[in-house]
Amino acid sequence: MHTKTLLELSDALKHKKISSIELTQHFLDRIKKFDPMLNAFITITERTALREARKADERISKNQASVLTGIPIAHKDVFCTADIKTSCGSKMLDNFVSPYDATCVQKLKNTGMVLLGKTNMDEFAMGSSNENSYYGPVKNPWDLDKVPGGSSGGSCAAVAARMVPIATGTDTGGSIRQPAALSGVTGLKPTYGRVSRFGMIAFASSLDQAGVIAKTAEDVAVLLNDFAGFDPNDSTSADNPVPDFTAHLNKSISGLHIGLPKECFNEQLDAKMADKIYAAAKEFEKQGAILHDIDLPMMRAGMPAYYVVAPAEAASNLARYDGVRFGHRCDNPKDLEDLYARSRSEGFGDEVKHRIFTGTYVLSSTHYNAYYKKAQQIRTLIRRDYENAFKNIGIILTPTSPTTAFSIGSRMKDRIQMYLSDVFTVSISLAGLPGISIPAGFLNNLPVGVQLIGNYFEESTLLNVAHRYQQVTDWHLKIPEKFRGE
Amino acid sequence: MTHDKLSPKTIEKIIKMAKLYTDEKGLDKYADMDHILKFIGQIDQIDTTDVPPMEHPFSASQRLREDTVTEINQRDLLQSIALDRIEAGVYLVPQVIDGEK
Repeated sequence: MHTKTLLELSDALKHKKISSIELTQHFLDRIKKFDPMLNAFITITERTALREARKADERISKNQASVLTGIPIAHKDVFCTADIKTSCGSKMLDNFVSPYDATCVQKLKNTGMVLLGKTNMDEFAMGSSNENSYYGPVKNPWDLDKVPGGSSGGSCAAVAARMVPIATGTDTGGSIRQPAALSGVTGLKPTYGRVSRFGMIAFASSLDQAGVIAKTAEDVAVLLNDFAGFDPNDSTSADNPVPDFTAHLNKSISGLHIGLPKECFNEQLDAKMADKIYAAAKEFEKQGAILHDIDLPMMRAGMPAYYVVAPAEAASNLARYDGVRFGHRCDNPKDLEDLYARSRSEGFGDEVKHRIFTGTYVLSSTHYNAYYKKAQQIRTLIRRDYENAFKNIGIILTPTSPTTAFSIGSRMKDRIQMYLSDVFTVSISLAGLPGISIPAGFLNNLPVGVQLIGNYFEESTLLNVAHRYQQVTDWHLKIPEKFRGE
Repeated sequence: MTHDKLSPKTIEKIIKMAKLYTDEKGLDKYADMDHILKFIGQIDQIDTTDVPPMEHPFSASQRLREDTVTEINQRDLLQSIALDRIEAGVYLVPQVIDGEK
């Protein structure tokens, strides 16, 4: 059952070949068996899951089911879930139970999906390796000594090990696409504003976007149909029509113009990695797509600009954690200042504190123009780059990450090296564009991901192109050896 | 941008502004901030003359809603997450006004 796609599972449920309770129990059993190796879950919601599965079976028996009814899912622990702990991977929120559901959680709940648990993540979604979690690092299912990527590392590892058919994630600078690449799964970051941010714990509000992690592009499309859409509770939610993302999955890509940015394929990219990405591009060419070299001169300026904008917005967003109304509170504060400072210092981990430091520095009155304003100007230049590119081409193709999964602990002492894991993903986030990472082969037995970037609200095109690739390749069907059994 | 090395005094000032806490030994934790500031300082090499700062990825403007009440009062529910820090509907914090304790 764990190898089947969402549509296959939905069909099996509809035709009573399996009940939602049986399906849910199957995945719960896999979590119990495999998660001790991976640490992909912070909370496993067994009782809730079985209760929801029972309700789903009732809906199915009354012919009131939607395509998603009765299918298990896991949510990244950044999404608020009523009555279930939402920690955001932080000691600060270790005691936090939200009084309400995030909009996108509620929407999937309404379809009758079954929540199996909340997945591990870098604290407050800050990280590229999932080593910054208060609950310990997540291991990569392809090699337990390696990281799964981050910050949605728990969701990606859980899908890769087939402990859950599909999971949610969030992406601020690459946090869905990079771990999807390193873990060998499919991960979509939609256009900024496509999915509601209400109830999604904020990191950098002008960049954060919820997305989907699954085995296949088709599965992503099926979930996105219910996940996306306007939400009056989120002032940055886009009031754009939501198409049926599954409608054009099989459309021919003959004549599609695909751009390969010269800035990604230079001498800094490992030759073997470049070969894998070119091989993926050739598959599209075989289907009639036309490849072009393009220029995105501002792409690399995205890295330093991102590490100004994201920490600045994080410093502002995380000011709310002051030990007063919720979250960690220090013992015996001697005065209010001591309450704030000690609660925050005890509650936040190192990376979060460093980013708050950077953000506070760049937003200070003497540095604001030189850093934050300047970085926002660079965002305009990056956006112009992409606008120019999309005048002539349909999508852009790049590596998702410059390397495959790296060893746990190997980059923790060098922040810049860690940050560079996202060199190919951050500029897309700064521009607010959609991007998807799909499995495109292996290097030294570790997955390689290729990133496809679309124009604003062109998720359908990305899913169509990714699906066509997955019809002629089987990289997305590979399961790590330790997790192949029942 | 020419970035002057962060002095312990500046580090301490930023930590205070960020409402974080550290003792003298803890200042060393922020020693690598110089590398980070040098890294982000690379943005200075980009010419942004006459380039407007980006306000929104696709220039959407802030949406306004009807001036009608849509929320119900959920004070008790929302305060329930404050655990034991609530008394008579107000949040308990250390005394902030001078006077008898």
